[in-house]
Amino acid sequence: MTQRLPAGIYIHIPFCRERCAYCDFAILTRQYKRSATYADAIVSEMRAFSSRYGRLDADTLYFGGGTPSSVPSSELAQLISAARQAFRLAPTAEISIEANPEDVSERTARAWSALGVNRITLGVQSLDKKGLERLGRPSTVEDALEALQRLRSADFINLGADMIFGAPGQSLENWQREIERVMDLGLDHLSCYALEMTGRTPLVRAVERGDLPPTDHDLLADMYELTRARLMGDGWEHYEISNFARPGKRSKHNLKYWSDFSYAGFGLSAASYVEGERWTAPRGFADYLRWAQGGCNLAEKEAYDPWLRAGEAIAFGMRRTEGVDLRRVAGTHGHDAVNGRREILDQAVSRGLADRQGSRIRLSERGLLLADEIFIDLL
Amino acid sequence: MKAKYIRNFSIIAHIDHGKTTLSDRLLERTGAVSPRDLVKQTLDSMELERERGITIKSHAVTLSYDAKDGKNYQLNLIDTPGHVDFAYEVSRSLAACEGALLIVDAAQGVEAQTLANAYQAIEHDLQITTVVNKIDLPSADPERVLEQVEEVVGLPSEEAVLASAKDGTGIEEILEAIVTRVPPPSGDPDAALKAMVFDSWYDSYRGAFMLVRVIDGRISTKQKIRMMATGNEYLVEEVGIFTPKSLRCDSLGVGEVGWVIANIKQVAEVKIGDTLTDAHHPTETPFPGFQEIKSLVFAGLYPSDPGDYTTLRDALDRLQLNDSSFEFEPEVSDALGFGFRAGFLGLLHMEIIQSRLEREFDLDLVTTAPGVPYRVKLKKGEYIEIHSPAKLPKTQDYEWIEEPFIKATVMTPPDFVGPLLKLMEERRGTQQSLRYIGPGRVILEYSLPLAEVVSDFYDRLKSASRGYASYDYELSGWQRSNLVKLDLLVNGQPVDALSIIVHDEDTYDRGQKLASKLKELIPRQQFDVAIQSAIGSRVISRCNVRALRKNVLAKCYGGDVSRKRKLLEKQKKGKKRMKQVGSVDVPQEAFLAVLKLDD
Repeated sequence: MTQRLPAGIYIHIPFCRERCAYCDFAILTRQYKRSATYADAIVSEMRAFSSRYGRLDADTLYFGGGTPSSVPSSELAQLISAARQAFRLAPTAEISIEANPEDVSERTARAWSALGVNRITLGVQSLDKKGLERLGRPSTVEDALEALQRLRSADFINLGADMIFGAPGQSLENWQREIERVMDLGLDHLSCYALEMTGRTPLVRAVERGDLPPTDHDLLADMYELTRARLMGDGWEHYEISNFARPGKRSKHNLKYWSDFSYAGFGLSAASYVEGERWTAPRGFADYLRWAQGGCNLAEKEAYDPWLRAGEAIAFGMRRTEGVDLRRVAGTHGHDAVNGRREILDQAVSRGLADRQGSRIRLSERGLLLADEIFIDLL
Repeated sequence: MKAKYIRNFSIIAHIDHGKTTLSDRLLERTGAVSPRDLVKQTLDSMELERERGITIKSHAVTLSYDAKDGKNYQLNLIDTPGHVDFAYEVSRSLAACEGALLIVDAAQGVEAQTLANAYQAIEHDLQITTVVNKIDLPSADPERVLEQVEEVVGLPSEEAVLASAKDGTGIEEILEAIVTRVPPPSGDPDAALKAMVFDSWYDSYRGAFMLVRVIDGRISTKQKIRMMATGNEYLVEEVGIFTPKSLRCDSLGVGEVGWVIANIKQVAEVKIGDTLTDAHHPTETPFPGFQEIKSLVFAGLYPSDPGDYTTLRDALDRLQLNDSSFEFEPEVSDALGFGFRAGFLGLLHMEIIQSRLEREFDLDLVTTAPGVPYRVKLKKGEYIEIHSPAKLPKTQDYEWIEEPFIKATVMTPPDFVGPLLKLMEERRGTQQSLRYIGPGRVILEYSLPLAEVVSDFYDRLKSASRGYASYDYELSGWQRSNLVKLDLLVNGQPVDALSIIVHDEDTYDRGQKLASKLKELIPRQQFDVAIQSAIGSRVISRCNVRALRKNVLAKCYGGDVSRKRKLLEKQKKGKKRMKQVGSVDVPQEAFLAVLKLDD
């Protein structure tokens, strides 16, 4: 096992003002007075990490959530400086933050920029009043547009937005209008996610009660194809199942996940992949604090298993439109684990879900929408 | 006990008319069981029987009764199974008696099953005493019920006993009626042994138990006996009676009823209705009426998990130790893999076996749609009997197909005659008679193919009559029918486990319904799935399951790896539970689709 470096650093900020109707992530609502204690816990976690693995090379730092934009910049500053102590963070590192429109003021935008943050992902989710209501988002369309204005004047290298399609009740025409609007915003990066109805979210329950129509997967497929066609026609690169970027503006951090690179996750429920091992921090807040302060002893660490990791490397690698180089996976995890998947991959090719070019395999256009049909067998 | 002090009788009744409660009262009154010992209802001992409130196997209890004439009598109560699936066993139990109590619910009146059983008792020349039960009910109308009994069954109402097994009314009168009206057994104590087996079961310590009625002679321990149907000989180890506790005795004489164990290792060696005789001094003629038990309903039983095949085989072997009335043989299906084709006495019997396999052996089964046996006249001249549509020879190799027919008796309030006639027509029935008995009851008699009643007939009958109609049937023989094999094809490949034999007139309708039902049940896959129904090479109907367009998780970042893996594993498990037909995943429910065509 050769570890792929430089690593990515992920910091999870679990605080939100309220829970959105579709969300089933590990978050805390209205608990901001605990954010300082939480930041301290992450700092101890980073110390424990570096004393175990040494100061690894890293070139991305990503604040995800939750709502990272909702905590004070001073805490972000504390975390970035702790990260610089625990890792050898490259001077040109990509430092991203997920922001909610209502948190973006001229002051916060300037503060983030001053901290070295150079990439912003704005949680727009919808550019339609009804759409935002359906998703139970706290902000308005105007909030999003104003936030973008402010961020643009603060001069970030990479400005992106997250969008969600396929909420119950949204039509193909609704979504098309949103796509057209978002293309006019001059963004560098776009993530367009099909809504996933998992967990006991208010949306899932509303569908179960019959208050909202159930998900129409064919409609989702139509929306997906429309998105791809419109954006690619407009010069966007489709580089991962749900991600689009202007040339040179792909998310370096997120590519780590799909390219079998190492990453270290800090904070509640954050996941790490280092030296072939995977682990996830506790999901409960109190559990997490106790664990971080007590030296981060992990009972449930998933040991390195070349067969499993090779499957993951192929499956996650195939999420990228350029596909995955099987020779590279074999070099990292061994030939047996790759050869053992030959039949699955050949079947995917023969069914038109994937293409092969030399040692590289990638999803076909149809395969992008049926990726899990292959991944089920790979994992 | 001298034969003149013995009375053998059984109780016949429609379900829920109070047979078991009345039996318990008789046991209690004669001191056989103290009320405290009554495990709710003593005679129905199997768990399933109690759950369903019906008697599956018969039993016999010997009661000691001091009658008003000052004499002590031995009353043998022979319980009969309460379901048409066990009609042959009923006939053997009745043949062991001289009398019967016909229980009729004072509120519900005569039902189809009452009638069928009463006719059987009459055929066996039994002395019948009508007992109108539940007269304590506010809705009881004994007058009307007695009129019905007189008109339909022809039993004089003056001799009937009005009773309530619940509060004990009429119990004494019933016991006296048994003593005074039921004739004593009339056998020859000095003749060679002749005893009829009317029930048997397996005990893991003692081997097979037989319940017998002695006709002539005497059966004793250490006697060498011969079973006349099989020719097997055994040494009698023990004989005894149930009171209902099991009591050993030295011998059983003319007219007596009790159990015999004779080191018989398998219950399959004991044929119900067979005659036991002395091996050294055999009787010349066996007791009449013996038949080999014949399976009427066949279905494929397959383990959901192919790894459970041996467990299933062992479980079937174990169950057969105790119930020789079902048969099974290995069967291989392209779609379902290795399993068994099993034959049962009827649908209830099939359900019982199926549920015992699942419950007692923790097996998860795929059961194919039940079917009936068919007799096929081959061009070569001989007949073959097939138990599975897959076994039907090619059209050019046979002359015709015969199927079992039944005579069905339906009793209903007049309001539902219309819907019931329609149902009978749909099921290819031919009316034999339609009679009004008084203002409240109609009896319909129909001849119809057994195949038409094995699936959902009973449910349909109940819904057509809002639950009021009752029904019973007896087998009436084989008849030639215009039958064809309907195949289901998935992506061009016939699915053997889904083939059915249908009447020529129904092919279009059934073919279409079956194909569209399958369309509902087969999940969308990576490619279009064509579903066709066909007779030979002629396609009757076709439809398509359109290819799946989307199955991908939108978001997949670091934190999600283990969570995503779990989600995918769940999907994988769901797929594993399906059966592969070519490259198409077919869920297990699809194999029962044929049963749900009218949903």
